[in-house]
Amino acid sequence: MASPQCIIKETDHSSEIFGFEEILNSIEAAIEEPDSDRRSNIAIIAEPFSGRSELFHKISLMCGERETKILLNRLVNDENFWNVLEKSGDLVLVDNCHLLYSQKIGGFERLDRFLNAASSEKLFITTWNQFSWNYLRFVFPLERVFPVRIELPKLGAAELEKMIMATCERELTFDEEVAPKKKEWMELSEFSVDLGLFKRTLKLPVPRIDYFGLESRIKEKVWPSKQKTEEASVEDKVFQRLRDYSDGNPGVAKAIWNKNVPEAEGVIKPEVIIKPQYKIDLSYDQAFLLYLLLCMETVSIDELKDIVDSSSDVNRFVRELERTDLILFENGLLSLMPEALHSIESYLKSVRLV
Amino acid sequence: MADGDLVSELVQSINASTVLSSLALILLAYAASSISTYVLTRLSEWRLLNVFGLNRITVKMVIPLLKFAFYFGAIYYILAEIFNLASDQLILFSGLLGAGIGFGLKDLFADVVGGLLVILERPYQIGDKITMGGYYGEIKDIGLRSTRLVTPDDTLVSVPNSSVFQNPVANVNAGNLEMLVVIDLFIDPRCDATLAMNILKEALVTSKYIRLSEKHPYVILMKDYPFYKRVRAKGYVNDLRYEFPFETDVTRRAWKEFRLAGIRPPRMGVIEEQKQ
Repeated sequence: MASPQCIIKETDHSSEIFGFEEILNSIEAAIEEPDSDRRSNIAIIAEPFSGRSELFHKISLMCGERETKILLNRLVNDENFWNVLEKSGDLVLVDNCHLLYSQKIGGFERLDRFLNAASSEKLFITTWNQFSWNYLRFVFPLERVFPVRIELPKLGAAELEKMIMATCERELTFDEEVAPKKKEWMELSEFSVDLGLFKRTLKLPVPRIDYFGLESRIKEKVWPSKQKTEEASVEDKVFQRLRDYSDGNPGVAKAIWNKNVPEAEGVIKPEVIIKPQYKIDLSYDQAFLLYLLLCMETVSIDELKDIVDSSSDVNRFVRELERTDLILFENGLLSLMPEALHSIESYLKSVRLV
Repeated sequence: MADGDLVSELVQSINASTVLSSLALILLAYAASSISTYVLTRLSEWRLLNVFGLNRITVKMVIPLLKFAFYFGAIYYILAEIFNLASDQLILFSGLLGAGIGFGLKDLFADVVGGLLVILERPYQIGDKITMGGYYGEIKDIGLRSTRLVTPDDTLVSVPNSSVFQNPVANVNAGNLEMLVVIDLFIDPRCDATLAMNILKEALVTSKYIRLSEKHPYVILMKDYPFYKRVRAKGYVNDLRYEFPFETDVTRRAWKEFRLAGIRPPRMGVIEEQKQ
């Protein structure tokens, strides 16, 4: 049955998708399931920039005209959403469901209403931010409403290579002349210790370990012959490095690539791919703002003020976060810098917010 | 050898050199214990511990253990190496010590044994929040003689370690960083209690200090009293240091919303007349 389409705002999606073929197949099987009793709502859960919306776009193409497609890219505030939901066919696709709530008193009404709607006979295929899901599942019975949960896998080096090659406009040349020289797996940096008792600051040398370099060095020592055969092409090394530094997240990988690989002509060496590192030291309130941003992905300052209920500090916190290159403020909206994603995540883990 | 000879030998071994050496060793043990306490306390505040599944309390757990090891090591070295006591002299020394304990050191001895028991049995650790001897607070130090805790109004209370033998100790977090916080709000009995429960639930789960997981659920309860209704929220705070900010945050936001929803605090001593 053809249904109305509610496209609040559609973003550009690459026509090709890498690494999610198996997931697409299983979703296709779920959609084609003739027995409606055996059909279960699906939640696709992934961290930001992991290609969730691209996959969603592919699914919607796969469904053709059968589905009602709802793309959310701002907090849901208009009635149009509910009208579309009410009139939808038997297959409903909703992207970015984490935009149906905000973490404040009275901020769950829309999500509650949506979960009621999703508990109907219709098949809902939804996408969720992983951090929002991990929070919401302890507040709402999400797992009962969405019995099938799919977590997007991390992409491998080969998949990232395909993705980069598909979007790269110029011919890439890798430096095949590069000698397999020893990598510096450790370097010393200064760490300041505040000796409050003596009113002095002590600077201590602290080793910083490049795990990629260390891994190569261990491989060299443990499996010298294997390492020889593994003296793979520079191209492979470049993308392996990209995979390690992005943790297989396509959006993060793309950001690291764009930041490190010059657009102009030139050969590409593994050393060109540099691990993004951020020194993050925030107050708990600032860390909480960052956590909200991690959960919502895109939010305006006013929405943030509305959530944290202390408007005076939000502007200052946002300015400070912007200065640390962790977030981006564009067109009145705040979002995370993709390459900072994993630094932010481990920082928030360290302060026990995720 | 006669007891008199043993005593005279023991007395003879005490001279300026042995006394100074012993003092130096005790000072060394004190310095080692202070340094290790300082280093471990600083290390325990290292945020990355949480990433590796550790927390500051697990690190601080080692502090009293090291402290006792340093002091007992020093005492052993003083007796065995500096005074060079033979086994029969040690027995005599133990006898003298026993008499000393009998006459006046028994409390001190009980405190030291209590300290050892605390280390071995771990009814509490440094960093835990406990109620002990009528005081509630965060444990700052477990010493040879006493346990020090800081109350919420920043008063340092020293409780003798021997009190673990006589008094119950209530530990609210038992070595974890999360702790259950109970927040009670009292409302007018004529107000909509279901709405109040819902608002309190949302105030609780949206607090920046809450910890939600399978092991850390929350619950909202309601109880009816003659003059008021009690709405109770139970939830885990992320880090026990935020216990009071958590309570304040939930209470403040819940009351703000209560007022908007027309939920009032109770009027004391007023019972609603039953309409016939």
